[in-house]
Amino acid sequence: MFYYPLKPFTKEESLSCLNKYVRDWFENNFKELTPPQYYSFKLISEKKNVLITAPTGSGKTLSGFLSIISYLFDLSTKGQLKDEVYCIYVSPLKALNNDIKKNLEIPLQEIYEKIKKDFPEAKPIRIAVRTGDVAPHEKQKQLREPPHLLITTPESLAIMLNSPKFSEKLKSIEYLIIDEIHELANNKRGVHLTLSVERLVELANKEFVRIGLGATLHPLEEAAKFLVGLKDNGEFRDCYIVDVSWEKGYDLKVLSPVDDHIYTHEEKVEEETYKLLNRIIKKNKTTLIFTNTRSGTERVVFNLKKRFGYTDDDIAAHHGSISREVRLEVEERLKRGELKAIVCSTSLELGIDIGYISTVVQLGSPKSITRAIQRIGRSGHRFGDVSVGRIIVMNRDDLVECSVMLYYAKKRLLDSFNVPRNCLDILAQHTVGMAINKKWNVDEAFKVIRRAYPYKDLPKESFIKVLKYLAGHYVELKDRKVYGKIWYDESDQMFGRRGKYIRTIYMLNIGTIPDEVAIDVFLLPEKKWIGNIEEEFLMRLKKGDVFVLGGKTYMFSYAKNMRCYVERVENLAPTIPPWFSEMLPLNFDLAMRIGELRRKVFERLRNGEDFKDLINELPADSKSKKAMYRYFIEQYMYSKVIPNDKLLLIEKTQDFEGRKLLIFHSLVGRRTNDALSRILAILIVRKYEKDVAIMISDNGFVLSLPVEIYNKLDEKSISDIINEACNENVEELLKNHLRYTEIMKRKFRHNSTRSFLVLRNYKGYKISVNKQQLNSQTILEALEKIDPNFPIIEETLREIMEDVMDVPKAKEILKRIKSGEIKYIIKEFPIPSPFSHTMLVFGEADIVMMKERRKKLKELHEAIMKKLNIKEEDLIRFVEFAQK
Amino acid sequence: MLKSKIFRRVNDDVLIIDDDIVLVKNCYLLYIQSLDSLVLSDLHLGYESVSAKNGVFLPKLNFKFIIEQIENFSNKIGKDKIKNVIVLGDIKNEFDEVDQAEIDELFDFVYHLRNNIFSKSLNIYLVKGNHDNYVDGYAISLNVKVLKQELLLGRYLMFHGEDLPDKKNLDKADFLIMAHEHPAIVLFTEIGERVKAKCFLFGYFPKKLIVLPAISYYAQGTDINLLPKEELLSPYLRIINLDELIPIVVENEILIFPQIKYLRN
Repeated sequence: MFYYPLKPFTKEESLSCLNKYVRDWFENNFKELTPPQYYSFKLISEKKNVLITAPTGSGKTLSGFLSIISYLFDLSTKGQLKDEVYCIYVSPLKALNNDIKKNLEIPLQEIYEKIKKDFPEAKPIRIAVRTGDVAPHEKQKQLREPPHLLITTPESLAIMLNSPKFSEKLKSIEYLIIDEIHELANNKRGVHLTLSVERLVELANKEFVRIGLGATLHPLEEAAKFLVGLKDNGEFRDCYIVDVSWEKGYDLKVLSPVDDHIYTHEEKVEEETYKLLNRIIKKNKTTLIFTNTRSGTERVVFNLKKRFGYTDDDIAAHHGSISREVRLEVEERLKRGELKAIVCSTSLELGIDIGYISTVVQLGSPKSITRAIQRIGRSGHRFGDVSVGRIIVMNRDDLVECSVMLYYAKKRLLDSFNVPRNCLDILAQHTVGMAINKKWNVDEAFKVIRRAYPYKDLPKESFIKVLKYLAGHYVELKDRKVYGKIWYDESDQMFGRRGKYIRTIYMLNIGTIPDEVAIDVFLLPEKKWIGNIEEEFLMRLKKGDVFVLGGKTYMFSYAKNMRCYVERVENLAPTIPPWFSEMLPLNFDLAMRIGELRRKVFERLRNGEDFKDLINELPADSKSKKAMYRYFIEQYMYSKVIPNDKLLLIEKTQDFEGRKLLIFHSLVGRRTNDALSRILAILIVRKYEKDVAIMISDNGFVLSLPVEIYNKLDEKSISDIINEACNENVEELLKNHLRYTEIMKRKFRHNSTRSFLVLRNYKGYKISVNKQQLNSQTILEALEKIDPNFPIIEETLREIMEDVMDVPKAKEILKRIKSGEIKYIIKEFPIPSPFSHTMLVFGEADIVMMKERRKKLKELHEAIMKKLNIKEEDLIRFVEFAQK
Repeated sequence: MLKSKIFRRVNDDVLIIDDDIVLVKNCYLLYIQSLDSLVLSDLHLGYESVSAKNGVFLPKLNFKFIIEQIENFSNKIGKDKIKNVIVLGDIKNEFDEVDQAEIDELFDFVYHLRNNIFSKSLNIYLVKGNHDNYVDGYAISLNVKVLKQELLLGRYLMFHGEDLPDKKNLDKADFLIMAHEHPAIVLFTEIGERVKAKCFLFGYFPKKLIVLPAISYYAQGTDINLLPKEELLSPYLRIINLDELIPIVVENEILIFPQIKYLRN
């Protein structure tokens, strides 16, 4: 059952739950309780599961810990405090762990001092951090004197579960706190954690109190399910859900740097953007600036320094590629109030205490209402302050998007997230972990796994498949002693560990964060190492391509043994677009809301009525409002249609290079468009047997077609294709196509590392020799040959279909089209309509290909011979001639 | 249909080069008629086991893949025509030691050739490659003749390729056959899709030359038309004019491509 307490407890009710000394300490240090504390003190003291979402600066730490500390001091005064771990606190960020420890040490010390006076025998409460960064002697100490409060990360928790000695100390657990839950519930790291938690329940052989803390999320129930999981009877465990995200006020606005986004020269737009940014920084004590990409972060800092004379003393960059020491230093300086501005990509979304931020500025769209609030909520640290957030937009679609986003943010209507389901790679990892600790009966293990929310509907066959893979059933019996990580007895339905290295393999390869950058890049002629790029990026490079690395431009020369060799070039524009996966996708719910606004505007225009009021109620500055108004008018005047959530506009047109285009204005977010575009492209390719290029973006997608096909596609043919799509088994269609795509290889590589098919670290060596000759494509093809439904392949397809693309939503859209709830209209234009422009410039490109490899080779051969104007016979003549 | 001394297509599946060397589609090995010999190289037996020792757990496909090619090839041209099998190096995989699985596959390979495909009287030669340390020790029990550097038979000089061949032998020979480089060509379609295919290389100046592709399943090949010459592994290829070599792809059908110089962009 999930409970939503309607009103908070009173101050007296809350404080009376606490031990006298704890209460005294609290009242001496704080005048008031913060909103979450009005719920949590009592609920946690009653040992209820609680999910608390609240913005920064709302005393979340204490709201989570204080009742537990009170309980422990009660035990202490009674002489019942044992040398055991009572509470485990997990957060995804090591820096946060250190903060938490520091923040609690003082109260623990102070309260203990008072208690000791009256109870000299009372023992202090110990708190310690245990992660990969902690020194071995410190860990040894923890073994002898276990901390009562243990602070750790998801990965370290998984390691602890398999530490023969330390895991014993965890059996006493009574409370589990998961912090920054919004950073875990929507990705595989969180999925990994849920399995660790259920294994912890098994280990402790009892349930414990679960407390979830985080920034705002939607839907809250989903986060609660993630936190508490299920009982064996299939019901969810109980949870109280407390959402105090809105107690803080929000001052939100969208800003445009220029009046005219289209005709103003790019440089001028950039100049004005920086001027605007500078004005904000000057007006505020400390400004936190979010870009969406690491390269963006570097560029902004560079420009602020260059244009306005800021120095390293007053501004800094913060993102994942910066070394840890530098990042910590930046965080410290921010805490001390020494920086005027800090520019980051996403890392400061995480909840470290960074002192006072007066304003949050987002450059470009954060793509989701919830994310906007999570980020903007970082400002106005002290509770009671208003959170000030500004979004500076770069193009007109951003403009409309962010205005609608903040409009709904003000109304407290967030967009939703999904928990990834049935991830077989994570399951494989934990199955090995489980097998290391003891022999399991398959059903017994299955039960434990299904208690975790992401695995609640896991089919048994999938688990068996994973067991067979881990046991090395894909090679012969004689090879299984090397390949098998576990043994699996099918007839007995038991499994257990195998091989003396398996524990080491597990400990050294645990985790979900993939090694993103696998290819070393060397500068010619010295062959000096300059950085890394992804394997898939390397596969796209042709000789002469120019790309950016670490802020400098290089030209690709050649690749050998999975190493990339480049030359330095100046003043050449990159020919390879920036890495699109850095860009976040527009949330579907938000996309629908933008579609709704468009529909309302369209209705007004159709009726010859004004729509200024619709624009005026959006939280944007006057430049922005004018620009949005004009944008809608332009589209209407050009095409007489404003595509919206109930009307899909399909444009037949061509671009300035004469390429024939079919543009679909489906404003559903990139993930759904990724699926929709491919479905339609595959159907066209199937019918006409020619390759089709696609461009995918949040506002729609573009199919770029060969002339012959374009000319054949009249209204009826297009309608036929759409009908076909609505009636097709799109999952099968997509799966067959996806097997040959770049994204398949990329995600496969990550999953194969997580499932221990390819180890990062084996017997002390990092994988090198063989990897140099192999790439993911080869491994993928080899596995497909023996079993196209190999669990890692299956997981990769699932991940792409559900987490990367959004196939369920795509099906939903097709359903709506079929039922007529979404109508479509096909129009032909000489040049693309205004709403298509951003799609054509910034869309992520890909190719949907028909031809099987054999046809491709043949065609390439023919094309080359044709280009040289020779036949096979000519080659012979040349050879014979040369011989003479 | 091509019908000349240099290239002669017997049918869709078979190509004869210089009136003596036979290629069969989908088979990465060749047959020299005048020597009754099959020639193949870069088998990398035991590859998956060595990979597994390094933490990459690949399904075992290599051995079967190689045997199938040999079987298909010999069925195509007539098993009784084959009296010798010459392996031009890298029959095994590990550099500096010997893995039990490699030895097992080595024995299985020889056994298979002499009992399941050819007759017991089959002669097997191994010209040592850079990966073939320690194989000498097994030569007797395998009944395989191991040659240190190269094999001069009639007008043919066969060598692995990691070193330059002996000058005297080079002068005596008319036709060189080598391996080691694992050639493959990389081509790009109109829309920028990358297609890579293993290939034979055929040249005729200063001496006639064939470079064998690797027959191993997991050897995807080096990008012969994209790599700069200095980066090539074989010293011999570095001294001749590589650009004049003709790539021959046998995947799905036998395609003779124009010289490498035309494939560089």
